[in-house]
Amino acid sequence: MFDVLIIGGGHAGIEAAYISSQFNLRVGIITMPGIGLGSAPCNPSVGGVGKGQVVREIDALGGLMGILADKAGIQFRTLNESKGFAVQSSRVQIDKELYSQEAETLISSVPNIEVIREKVEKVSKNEDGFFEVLGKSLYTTKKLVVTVGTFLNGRLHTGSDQTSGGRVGCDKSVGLSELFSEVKTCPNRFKTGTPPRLHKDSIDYSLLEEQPSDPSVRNFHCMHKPLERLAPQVSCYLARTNELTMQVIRDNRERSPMFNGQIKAVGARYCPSIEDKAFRYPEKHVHHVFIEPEGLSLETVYPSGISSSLPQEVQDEYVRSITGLERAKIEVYGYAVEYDVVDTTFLRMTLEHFSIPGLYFAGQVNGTSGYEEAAGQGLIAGANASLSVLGKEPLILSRHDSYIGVMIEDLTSNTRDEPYRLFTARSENRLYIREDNTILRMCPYRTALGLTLPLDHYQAQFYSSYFILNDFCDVTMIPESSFILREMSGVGESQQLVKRMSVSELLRQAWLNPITALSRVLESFGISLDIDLVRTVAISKKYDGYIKRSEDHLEKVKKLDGMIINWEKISTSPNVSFECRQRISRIRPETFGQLKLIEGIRPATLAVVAARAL
Amino acid sequence: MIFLYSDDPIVACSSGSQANAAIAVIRISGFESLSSLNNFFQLDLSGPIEPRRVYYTKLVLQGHFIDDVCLTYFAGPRSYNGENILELSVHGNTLNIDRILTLFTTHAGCRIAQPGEFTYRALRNKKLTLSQVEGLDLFLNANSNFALDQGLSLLSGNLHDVYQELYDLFLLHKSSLELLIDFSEDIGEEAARNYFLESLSRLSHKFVSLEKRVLPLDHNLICPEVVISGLPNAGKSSLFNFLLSDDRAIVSPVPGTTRDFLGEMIFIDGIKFRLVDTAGIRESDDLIENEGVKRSKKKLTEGFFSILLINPFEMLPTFETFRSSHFDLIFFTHRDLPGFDEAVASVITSHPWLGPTGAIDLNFPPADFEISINQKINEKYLRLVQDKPILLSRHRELILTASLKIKEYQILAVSETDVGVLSQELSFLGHCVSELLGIVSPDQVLNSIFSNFCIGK
Repeated sequence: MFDVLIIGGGHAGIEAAYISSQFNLRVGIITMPGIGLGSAPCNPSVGGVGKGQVVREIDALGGLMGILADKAGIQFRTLNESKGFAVQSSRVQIDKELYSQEAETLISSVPNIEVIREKVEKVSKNEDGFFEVLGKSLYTTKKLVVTVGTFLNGRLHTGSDQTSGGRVGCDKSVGLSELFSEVKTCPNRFKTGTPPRLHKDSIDYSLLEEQPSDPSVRNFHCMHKPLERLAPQVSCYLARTNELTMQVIRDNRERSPMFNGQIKAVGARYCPSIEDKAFRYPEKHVHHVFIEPEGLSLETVYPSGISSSLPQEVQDEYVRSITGLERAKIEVYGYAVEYDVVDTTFLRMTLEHFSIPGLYFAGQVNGTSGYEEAAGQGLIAGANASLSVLGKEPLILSRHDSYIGVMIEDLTSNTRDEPYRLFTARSENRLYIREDNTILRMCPYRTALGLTLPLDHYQAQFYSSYFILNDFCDVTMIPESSFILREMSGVGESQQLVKRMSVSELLRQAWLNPITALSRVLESFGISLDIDLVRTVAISKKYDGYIKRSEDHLEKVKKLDGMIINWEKISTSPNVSFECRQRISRIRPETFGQLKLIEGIRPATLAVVAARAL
Repeated sequence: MIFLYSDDPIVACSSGSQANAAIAVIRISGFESLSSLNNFFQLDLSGPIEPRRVYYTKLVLQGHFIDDVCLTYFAGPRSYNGENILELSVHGNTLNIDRILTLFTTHAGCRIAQPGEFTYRALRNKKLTLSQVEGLDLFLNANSNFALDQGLSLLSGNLHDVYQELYDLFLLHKSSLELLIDFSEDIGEEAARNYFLESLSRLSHKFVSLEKRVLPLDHNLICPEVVISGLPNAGKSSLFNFLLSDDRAIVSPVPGTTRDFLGEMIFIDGIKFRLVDTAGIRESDDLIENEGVKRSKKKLTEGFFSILLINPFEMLPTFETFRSSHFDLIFFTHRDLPGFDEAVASVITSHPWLGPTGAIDLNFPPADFEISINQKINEKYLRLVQDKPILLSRHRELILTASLKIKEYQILAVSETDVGVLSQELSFLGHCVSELLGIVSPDQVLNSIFSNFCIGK
């Protein structure tokens, strides 16, 4: 009998297993034979705008993703580097082979995780309330976490060829409807796609723009040395489509499953296929194509930005129309996959299903896209399954201090029309949910789990040091007419302070880089501290004032957001549009704030509700 | 006042019940079906009654004849407020109105409507938007043709459409900023930056045109006031009476006769103004007079058109009070007295801030004096309304706040490299814009609006 059994060994599944194992429970992963753990079937990268924050949140909560990404990271970048600390995010290209190997090594080193490589035939709940999972043998478990990705009634498309399955080269898995008749799936199927993979030696890199790895990007795992690289570094390259490329695609409209009606599922607007780009923006011909290495010893590269489900010969033609790719050899053709997703409004914030206690869902099966989103949910589902076994308080992250919290609230409070991806824009508290202060934000959650691993000791120390340095900044005064190096505006020229101020106040000055400024101040006192700690305090100080102002300003809005509303009355009012009514009765918002979060609610409806008219 | 009322049927006299008149209109709103009111009419209301058609019938109570009435039925939701409405034209004697209202409250399960409740239900049923409600308020209480027109424009939703456009442009710009943060790699840094700047310029352009309709208005144009000021015994009340062509104010040679300000309506070319005679500004031991002086000083700053009268023979140190105010017209009075020219010259020399002045003998004013003053008042009024200023103070304040914010934001948009900070500033701006559309906390707006309504509207 398992305490927690996980179906699926992808990014959600391994996080669920790894966090569960930390509670000393008996944990199992049952995964399809032939697929390595933590494999990366789509783009070979981890992190990105908003997603970098998620990876660090996972890491600080005791997850795997940061550790694996550092070990398999072959090109590091900071996105939005020039746009301020709040919106900066790290992204790392991974060697997908190495990533999966590291996942296998790490998971197999954990004695209380058993990996079962069998295809699941049947799942049921017995009269004792335990789940029974039938593979080659029968497994029973107290809690079940389902992380089956795109394998729910998955169907692959390349041109007019169609096959069943969740991924190219993999066996199909059973429909969820056969597993749990009570679990509601969304009426609309989702769609995702992947580009053709090119042979890395068939590309003329001299015609492309090189993007080398940035040595100043910090590792994801908080206990790795921040700037140490654990794998050899390589470059990415930037190519661009042209008029000819787009013409090839436009000439083959009738052969595209997306546009001839063969695929009915909904793809993400933010992750358009090359067909989407061609037909939705007919006046635009130049689109970015990032050539990303898939691995140090793999022969293929991933051309990000040209995913497609066109027939193979059309893929050959449009790829070769791109400068630098004239002689490109396609190793694996692009395809689209359609799949079922769970209706996440039936999930609690713990990701447990409302009507089937003990059953948890995480990852792409919940209608999200991206490895990071999947991993974040996996961790939350796994932790809560374990906490529930132990009879402890659940782990629920707030949307005010984490992107994982934003994601889970968005998912559980809303039915999605398209695959869900995190953007920084989804957060109301972007200035606070940053990469640099992740430990500060996550430490209270991690502490509440009651674990005593090395990570916990590291964080506890970091957390208390933070407040000591924070206080130091508040009480230490910088004398008037001190010289401070101004750095934000170009050359390093000294500026004299016109008045005496505290270090905290100094760090808020717009004309300096708070990190170097705080480092210099500490140096002048002969204090030497962990640079990550200095970074966190310095950047937090810089944003303190803004965050305070925002809170003050939002006070009025918050008051309105907290107003209790009667959704039943609104959803039956003949004066609210049919579409709004449907959404409201599905989501059942209890406050004005929740109502506002629902997609597609019109200002007119909000105005009427705000006026307490309903 | 918070409108957490029950959904009971309500009744009220919609045409005002303060004075006797030939006809009064009584409205009943929110009843389930016409047949529930069947007992009170000779006409069979449970039979087919065509909506929006007038029926003549008798109002009866337990067999007693009450009144001859004309009855019109408006079936919800196709009615003013979306509910079933019955409109009765009855004889407009106030006693009769009271008797009929009592009939419906005691025998038909209706209650007397709260002020503005009919309209509140229209808002609730989305028959009117918040700015339409504000427009209705303005329309019904307008004191000038311009306010009347603007009320009508709000009521027909024109101004709301302008705000909606503004809101759309705001969203466009907001999304361009999000594009810059979340998608600049996908579409390219330069393209993202261009979207950002282009949408900002469209948004600020819209703001500039809206701000023009708010800025020149430092006076209340809903009820424009013409204020006459001066020291005691300057002849203010004489001018007041002259312009009113009436002996409304008591005129005497005793300084301080007018102890509080007086106001009367005058019409100039069909536009309604309020003419205000103020108390002469002087130091006094009289408590009541001092209060009057205080209130008169306040009037001075509120007036849409200010006239200053100066008696050059009776100057006081308090004259300096006027220095900080703007005057549209300044006249020296008591022109008939000897030594007038010298006295005037001496006043002008010691008060060089006065600017252009005129002189007048209020006992025998020239024939065209009234016409020329009226012309000046009218010119100023037309000048102020030609940019279609927005009258509602809630809107004006919001637009001014938002305009100020967008100016700060525009500067920040070029100087601030931290896009997170920029985006926060933009959301502050967003709150103002959504408040214009009526997405606001209820306590702020509704109270002021609905408390202005006469009962039954």
